[in-house]
Amino acid sequence: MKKKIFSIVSKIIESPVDETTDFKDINSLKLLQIIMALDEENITIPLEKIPSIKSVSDIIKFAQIEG
Amino acid sequence: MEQFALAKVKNVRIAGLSACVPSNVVDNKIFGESIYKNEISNVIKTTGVSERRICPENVVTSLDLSVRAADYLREKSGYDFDNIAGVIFVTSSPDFLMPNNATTAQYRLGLSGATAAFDINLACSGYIYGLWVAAMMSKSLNKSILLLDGETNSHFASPKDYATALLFGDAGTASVIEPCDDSNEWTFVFETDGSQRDALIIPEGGYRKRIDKHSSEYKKYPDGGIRRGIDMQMDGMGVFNFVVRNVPKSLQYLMEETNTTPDDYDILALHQANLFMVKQVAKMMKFPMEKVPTTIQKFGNSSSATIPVTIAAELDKQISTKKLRFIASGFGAGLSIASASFELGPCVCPGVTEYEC
Repeated sequence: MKKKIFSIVSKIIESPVDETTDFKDINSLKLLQIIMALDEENITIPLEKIPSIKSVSDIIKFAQIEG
Repeated sequence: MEQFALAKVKNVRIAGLSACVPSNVVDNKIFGESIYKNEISNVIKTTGVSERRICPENVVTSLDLSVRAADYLREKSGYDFDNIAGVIFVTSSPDFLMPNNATTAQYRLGLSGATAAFDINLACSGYIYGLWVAAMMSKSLNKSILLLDGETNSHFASPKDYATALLFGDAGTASVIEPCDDSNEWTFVFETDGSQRDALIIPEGGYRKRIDKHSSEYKKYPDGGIRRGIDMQMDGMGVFNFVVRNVPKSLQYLMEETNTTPDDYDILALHQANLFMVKQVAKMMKFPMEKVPTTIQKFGNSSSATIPVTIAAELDKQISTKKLRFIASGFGAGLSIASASFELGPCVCPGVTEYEC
C-alpha cells in the first residue's frame, strides 16, 4: 500500500515523495485532492483524521483499505 | 456541559419556496486556469464546482436576487402576499451596513406597512436559523413570514486566492412560512464556536477595521493567498476540522432527539460547501447519495443560500406534489452549525429562475 500512496501523492504534488515528506507547503485544497485521489483507489482516510495529516507518514498511519 | 442548543417549534409549514440565480455563467475551467494552471481539473473535481452563477458587482445584489425570487414565487403560485406580516433577510452581503435589506424588500415587494422586517447576519448556517426564527415569528404574529436568503459571496472572494477563487456563486431565495394546525414538529440543533472567528472572515470593512486607502489593494498573505482586506480569508483546514468533528455529531444528536434514523428521512440537505465535504458527511451519516441532492456543480457555494437553492433546483417537482421528510445542516463562518429536522411539501415550488445580467 505504501508504494501506491507514494505514487498517488507524488502525482498530486508533482514531486517525488517518501515517508519523510511533510506537507508544510501543502494547502488544504491540495490535501483534499490527495485524500480524494486515495479514496478513488479505495484507500480511505477516516474523515476525523484528515485535519491532523501533516505528512506522508500520517497518511500511511491512518490509511484504511476498503472493499 | 451540553454541546448543542435544542429548539422545537410546532404548527408551522413552508408554504412556498423559490430561488433566483444570475444568468451569467462562469466556467471554472477557463476562469481558474491562470491561478490553478494544470491543476484546474483536479481542483474542480475536489470542490465539485464546474461552473458558477455570478452577478456584476455594484449592479446586482443579494437583495435584487432575493426580491426576484419572491416575485417569481408570487407570480407562479398566486400566493397572496397580503398574508405576510414579517420579512426576514438572511445575508452576510447586504446592500448597505444601514439600513438592512429586509426593510427595502418590504418596500420593493409592495408589502403592507404592518410588517416586521429585519436581517439576520449569518453565513452558511443562516437558512436554518432563518427557518427557526421565521417559524417562531409566524406563530407569534399568527401570519405568514417571508424568509429571504441571498448572498453575493463571489464579490468578496479574491480571484487570486487559491483557497476561495472558484468556490463561490451568487443566489437569492424566498420561502414563505405560515402557521398550520396539523403539521409535524420542527426540531433544531445549534452549535457555535466564536473562538474560531478568524477561520472564515472578511477582516476589513466593518467597524473593527474600517475601510482605508489600502483596503482595496491586493497583498500576498502568509497562507499564500493574494487578496484585499475587503476579501474573504478562509482557513480551509480549520473550517474542515470543525465541520468533520461537529456536523455529524449535530445530525446524530438531532436524530436521537427526534427518535429517528437515516431510514426515516427522504432527504439529507447539506450546505454545499464543497463536494468532497458533502460526500464525506453523507458517508459518515450513512445516507446514500440518492438522498443527498447537490447543486454545487452548477451553482457553486452561495453560502447561506445553498440549502434553499438546492431544494428549489433539485426537489421542486417532488415537494410540489408530496411531503418529504428532511434533515438539514448548514455550517460555516462563526464558526456556526445549525441543523434541523422538518417536513416539507406539498407546497408551491416553481423552482429556480434567472436574473438577466
